[in-house]
Amino acid sequence: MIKTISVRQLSIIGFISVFALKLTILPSLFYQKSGIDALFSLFFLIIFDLLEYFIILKLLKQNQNKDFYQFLCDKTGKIVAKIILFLLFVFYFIKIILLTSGGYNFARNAIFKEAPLFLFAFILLSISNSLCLFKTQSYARTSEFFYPIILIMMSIFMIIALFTAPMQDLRPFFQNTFSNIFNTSFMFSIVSGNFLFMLFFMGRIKFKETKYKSYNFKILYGCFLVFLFYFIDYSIFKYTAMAHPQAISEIIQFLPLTNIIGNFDWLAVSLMLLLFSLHGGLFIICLSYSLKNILVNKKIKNKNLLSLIIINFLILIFIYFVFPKFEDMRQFVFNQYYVPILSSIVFFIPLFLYIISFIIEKINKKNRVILKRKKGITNINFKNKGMYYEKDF
Amino acid sequence: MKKTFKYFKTHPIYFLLFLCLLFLPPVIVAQPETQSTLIVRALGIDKTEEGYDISTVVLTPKSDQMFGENYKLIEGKGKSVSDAIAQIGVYSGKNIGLSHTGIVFVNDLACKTGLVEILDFLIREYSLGNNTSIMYVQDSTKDVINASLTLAKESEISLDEISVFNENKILFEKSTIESVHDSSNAPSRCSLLSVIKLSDENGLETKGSQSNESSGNEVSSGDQTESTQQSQEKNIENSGEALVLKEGKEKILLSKEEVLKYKWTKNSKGINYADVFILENFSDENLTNANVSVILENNKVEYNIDFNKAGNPIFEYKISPTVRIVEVNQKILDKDIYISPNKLSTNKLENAINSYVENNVREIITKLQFENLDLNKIYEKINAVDNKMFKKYLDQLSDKSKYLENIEFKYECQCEIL
Repeated sequence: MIKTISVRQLSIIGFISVFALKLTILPSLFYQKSGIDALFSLFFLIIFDLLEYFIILKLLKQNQNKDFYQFLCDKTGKIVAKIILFLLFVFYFIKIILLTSGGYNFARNAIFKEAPLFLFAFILLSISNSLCLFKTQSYARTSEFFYPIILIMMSIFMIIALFTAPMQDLRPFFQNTFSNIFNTSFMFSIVSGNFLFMLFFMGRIKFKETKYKSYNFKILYGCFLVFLFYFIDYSIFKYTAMAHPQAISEIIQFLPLTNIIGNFDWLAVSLMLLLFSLHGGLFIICLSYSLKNILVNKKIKNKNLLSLIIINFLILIFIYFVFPKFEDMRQFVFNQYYVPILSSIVFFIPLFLYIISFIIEKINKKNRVILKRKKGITNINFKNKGMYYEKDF
Repeated sequence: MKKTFKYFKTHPIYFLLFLCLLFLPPVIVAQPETQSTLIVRALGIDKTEEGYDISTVVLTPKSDQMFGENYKLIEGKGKSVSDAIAQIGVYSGKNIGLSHTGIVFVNDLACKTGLVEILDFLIREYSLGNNTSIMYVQDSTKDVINASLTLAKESEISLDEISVFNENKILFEKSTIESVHDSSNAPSRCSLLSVIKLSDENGLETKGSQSNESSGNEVSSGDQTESTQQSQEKNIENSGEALVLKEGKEKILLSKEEVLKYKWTKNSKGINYADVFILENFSDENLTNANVSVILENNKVEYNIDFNKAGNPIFEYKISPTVRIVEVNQKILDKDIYISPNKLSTNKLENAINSYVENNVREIITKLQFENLDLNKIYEKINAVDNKMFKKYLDQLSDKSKYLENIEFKYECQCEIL
C-alpha cells in the first residue's frame, strides 16, 4: 500500500479533531445537565477517548499493509464489515449534521445575523468536499499547515484567560450524584470518539521505528486544552454558563485585554471557522470511505464522486427538512437515547476489533502448531511472530 | 463542454477568478452596513406604569462632522424593553446596533420591580456583551443621558468610563449585566450597582454653549423640551454611592462612607486615589494632634472559616492593606517628618490604622448582616471550604434564607505602611 501520511501528521489531525463544537455551545449544554460537575463528565469522555486512541494506534501498527475495509473483511467477514462501516457512517453523519447546524448557529451570531443557512452550508460543504476530493496527503498537509496557527491561538487564549479573567472558586464539587455525572457523559457521547477517524487511515501511515512520545504529547495536549477551556468557562460563568452558548466568544468579552486592544472577537471567529472547515473535511473523508465500501455494485465506476453526491444530498435534506433548527437537532441528539446508544456501540468497535485480532492470532498460532505436528516438526520456535519454524532433521 | 470542464479542473485558479468576478461587483457597490445601522452608545431604561421608556444615545457617522456633534438622543416607548427598542428603530428608519453600547442606566422603578426580568432582552441579545456596565439612576435615566451629551462633547468624559472607574476604584466589584444575572442565580443572591445622579451643585458641569437642537434630538415626543433644558443645566454627580440588589431587586442604598468601608473587604491592586482616609488628632512620638491622611495602595483579604461547637460558622477576615501617608497636618511644624517616611510609621500609627480598618469593616458587615445581605458571597465561601458542615448548619435553621444571622464574624487587620 502507498504510505501517504506520517505519524506526525496523524497526531496533528488528532489534535485538531478534539476541538470545534466543544468550544462553542457544548459547555452550556453540559452545564444544564450537571452543573459544575460537568467537568467530570467531560473528563470521563476524554479518558475514554484516550484509551480508544491507544487501542487504535496498536491496531494501526499491527496492520500497516492493509486497508481498513480489507482488515475488517479479513477479521470479521464482509457482512459484519459492512455493518461496522454503516454504524460508522451514521455516527459521522450525525456529527457532520451537528457541525453544520451548530456551526451556523455560531457563525450567524458572531458574523452576520442575516446570513442564510445556505451560505454557511455552501462554504462549509465546498471546503469539506474539496478536502476529501484531494488525496489524504493533501488533507494531512493542510492540517499540518494550519496546526501552528491553531496551536498558538489556543495556547495564547488559554494563557491570557487563565491569568487575567475574573475567575470564581468552583468548589464544592460532586453536588450531583455519580449516576448523574455518568449519565451526562453517556448522553453527550456523540461529541467524543475523536480518534476513530484514524481507522480510516489504516495502511496509509508511515510508521518509523522511533518512539512516539512526542506524537502522543500532541494528542494529550489537545485534550488538556479542552479540559482547561471548560474549567475557565465555568470559573468565569459559575452560575450563568447555561446563558452563554457561544463560549469562546463570550469568554473573550470578559478578558481585560479587550479594554486595551478593542474587539478581540476576530480570534474566536477565525479559529472556529478554521476548525469547522477542517472537521468538516475529516468527517466527509470518513463518510465517503464508509459509503464507498458499503455500495455493493461493482459496475459503479466513480464511487468516490457518487458517495460525495449522496452524502451532500443527505446533509442538505437533513438540515433543511428533518432538523431545520438547531434546537430540534439538540433535542434529538442530546435528549433522546438513540444517538448515545449508537455512540456507545461505535466506541467499542476498536476494542472489539482488537480482541478479534488477538483471538484470531491465537487461533492461527494454534493451527500452526497443529500443522507442524502433523508434518512431524518437533522443534518449534515461537520467538518470532509469524511463520517461522525450523525443521528437526 | 467537456473540454471547458477539463480546462477548469486543470486550471482551478481561473475558476476562482470567474467566481470573484461574478460575486465581487455587487458587494463593492452595496450600501455599507453602517449606513443602515443605528449605533447605540448608551441605553437608559425607565420603567413606568404603562411600560418602558427607552432613551438611547446614538452615533450617526458622518464624514464632515467633528467628534461629539453627531451624538443624538432618541427615545422610544413600549410594553417591553425589546418593543421600545424596536420603536426606536422604526422612528429612525435603521437597524439598532447594540454591539457598541458601553453603559445601561436603570431607574428606581426598574430596580424595585426586578432587574433580571427587565434585563432579559439584554442578556439574550448576543451583540450586547454581558460585561456592559449598569448604573442606577434615582429619577429619570433620560435626564442623565441628556445631560451626558454635552459632557461627552465638551470634555470627552463618558459615563461608561466613570462606571468602569467605579468598578475598579470604589466598589471593587463589577456592576455589569453579568454580575446582576450571576448574583440572581448564585446562593448569596446579592450584587452592587454604582449610582449616578443629577445635582445642582456637585459633580461635572454639563452647561455649555450647546443649544437644545444639536445635543438632544427627540424624535418620538415633542413635549419635553423644557425638562430637557433643565436636565442639561444640572451637574452629573458620580456620588460614590451604591445600590444593593437582592435577587435583582433593590434593597438598600449604601452611602459613600459605607461603600468606602465596604472596600476594605475586597482585594485591590494599585493606588486608590478615590479614597483618602484621615486619622484625626493622632499623637505618637513623632506627631502631636495631627490629622494624618493615608492612601490605600494594595489590599489583600484572606478568609479563615471554622465552625464552633454549636455548628455555627465562624468567618474571620484577615485584612492586609498596604498604605502610604500622603499628608500630615499638625499645628506644630516639624521638619523631621519630611526626612524619612519611615520615621512616621510607628507601631502606634500602625495600630491606629488597624483599628480604623477593623472598625470600618465591623460596621459595614454588621449592617449587611442585619439587612440579611450577603454581598461578600459568604455562603459560597463557606460552602466551598466545608460543604458538609455548612449543610448541617443550614438544615438546623428554621429559615435557610437567613443563614447570615448566626454566623460569627471576626476581624483582624495587619497593615504595612510604606
